[in-house]
Amino acid sequence: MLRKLFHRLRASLRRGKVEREMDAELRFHLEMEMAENMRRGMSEEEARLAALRSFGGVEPVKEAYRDLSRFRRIEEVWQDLRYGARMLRKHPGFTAAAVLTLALGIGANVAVFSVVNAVLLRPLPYPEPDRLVMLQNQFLARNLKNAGVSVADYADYRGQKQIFEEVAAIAGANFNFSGADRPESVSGVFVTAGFFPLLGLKPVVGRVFSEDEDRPGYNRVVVLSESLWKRRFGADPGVIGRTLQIDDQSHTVVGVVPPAPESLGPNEVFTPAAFTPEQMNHAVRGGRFLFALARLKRGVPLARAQAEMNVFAQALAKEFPNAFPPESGWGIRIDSLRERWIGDVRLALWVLMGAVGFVLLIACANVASLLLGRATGRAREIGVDWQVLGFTLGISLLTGLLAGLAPLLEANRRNLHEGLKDGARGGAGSPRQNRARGLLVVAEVALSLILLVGAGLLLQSFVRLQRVDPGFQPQNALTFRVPLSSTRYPEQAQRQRQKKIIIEDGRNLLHRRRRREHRGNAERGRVSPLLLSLRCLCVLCACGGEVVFTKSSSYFLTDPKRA
Amino acid sequence: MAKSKSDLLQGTLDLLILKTLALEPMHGWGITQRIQQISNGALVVNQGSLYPALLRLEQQGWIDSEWYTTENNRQAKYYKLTRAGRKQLADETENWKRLSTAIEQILQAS
Repeated sequence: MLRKLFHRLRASLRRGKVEREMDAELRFHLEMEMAENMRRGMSEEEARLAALRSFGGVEPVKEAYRDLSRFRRIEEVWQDLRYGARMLRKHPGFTAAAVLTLALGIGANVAVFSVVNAVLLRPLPYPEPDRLVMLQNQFLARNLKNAGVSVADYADYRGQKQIFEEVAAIAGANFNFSGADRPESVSGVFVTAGFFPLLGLKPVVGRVFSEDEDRPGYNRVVVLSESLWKRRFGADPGVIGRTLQIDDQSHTVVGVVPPAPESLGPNEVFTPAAFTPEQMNHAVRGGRFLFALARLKRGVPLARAQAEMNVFAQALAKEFPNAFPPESGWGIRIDSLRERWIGDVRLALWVLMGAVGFVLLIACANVASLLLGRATGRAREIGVDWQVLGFTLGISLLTGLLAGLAPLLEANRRNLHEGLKDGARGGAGSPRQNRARGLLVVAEVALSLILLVGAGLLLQSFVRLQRVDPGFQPQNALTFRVPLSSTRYPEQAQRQRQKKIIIEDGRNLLHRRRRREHRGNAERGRVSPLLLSLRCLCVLCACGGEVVFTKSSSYFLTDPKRA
Repeated sequence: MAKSKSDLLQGTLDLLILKTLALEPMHGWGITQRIQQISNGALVVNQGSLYPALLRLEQQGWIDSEWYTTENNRQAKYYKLTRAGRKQLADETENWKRLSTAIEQILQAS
């Protein structure tokens, strides 16, 4: 086999030499023939012609010779493909069944694989993602594994220069974006200056914050995300240097950055954290509202970082027993950023991948039994190849192999024993074929059972989720958030007053709507504050209409009858 | 020999070539001469079948080839049987005997 391949390869690669040898060999033959003829008494010319005649022409021989020696795989494959296509056309029923079955199996695999690829296989889109970690407080005795960190914690982590190259703190926030054509509430984050270099986020336009701007009084600068830049400013590079009103304060745009990690929220605006000296106070350990990201020093493994932080935590616990009570099981937890973000979905995704893998196997088994069915009639012809790109190519090859293997083995076995008994083909399946089909059926049933059980469990969980009682009537209830600017309403009392006004506005709107309808028994609309956070007001409103925000961020209720 | 016939007798030609080369290494022309001589002219090997057959046998690994100088000081390609070829010859001889015996018996039946 290898030898044959070698010969053909040699013939293909050294075409010139092979041709020359062939010429020489045939010429030698002709001359010998001629000499023999002359020995029998022919003249030279007669002898030459007779030799040529007996040879039947040199070129046809050469052609036959070449045909054999040339690397004819491509032609053979092409023939197989054409034959396969012809067979498929001739049996549209079989073709449709096989194509549909495989398409379903392959399609499901490609879909799930694209998610697995994006989430699990592709590392974080940042340089040296293995060195990126997340730092969190954990209170094991309170079953709290991922608490945030305080400003003082962050400052302490930053001091661990032997472990971390850079530490950054992030706090999510809503910003009221005004001053342009329309006000808008955008999500953003306060970040320390180290955030961008830590992740390796390079500005698309302009620059990111400097350390100097990460100080109170110097922090009226803003970095926009690429999406906001495109949406609000039409990707105008001239936006750099412009002044924007963010929470009623002027901020200068210094740069635009590509998307930051989704897991940190849909961040569209970055402003400096600019912690005050009071916040940085070593003794103030409460207020754990920050995410802490860090980049490990090159060559520092995660385990060593964790060990060193454990030692550090012990010292800290001794110094601040109030903030870190010993009975709380407190500790500092370091996770690789990738683990932290995808750890929860990894198993689920692999399970899903496995499930669709089973689907494909079942598809293969089905096609194999279809082919076996046909092979019972005609054992020789197996020529179904499926081509898609990349991964699809891979699994489809596997599919073809798996599906084609059974009848192929069958056909091969026959060829070995063929000899003179050509007529022995055909007829109903042999016991061996029946056994092969039996095996396929068993495997298929087993796989289907696994899948069905999995699907059943999933469905049950879903049904149960649907039935969870939220403790209120979710019908017609709406919730929305109204962020209150701390610049416009700096005092707690002012914010409380504003919240009441908003709720009152809502009630009035409902009231007016009811009056307009002149219906005594119109559904009762109710606006009630559900959550009153520090800067944000969330309102739950039960009514028959919808709450719609206009461009100016004011809100009103629409009448479903009129809409 | 007509072309259609040579196809039919492909296996036979292989057998004849292998047998001839089992006697001694030989070039293509020598093979045709030897077969013709031994069969008293009853079998004439067509060159158009011979060379493709030689190549096929070489690709199968049953024969090997090398260029030598003949006694007339000419360069000729000599073929010789390989170990695998010897085994193949034994197998095919066995097959041929079985087949010819069977055909013989059928022809003798009355």
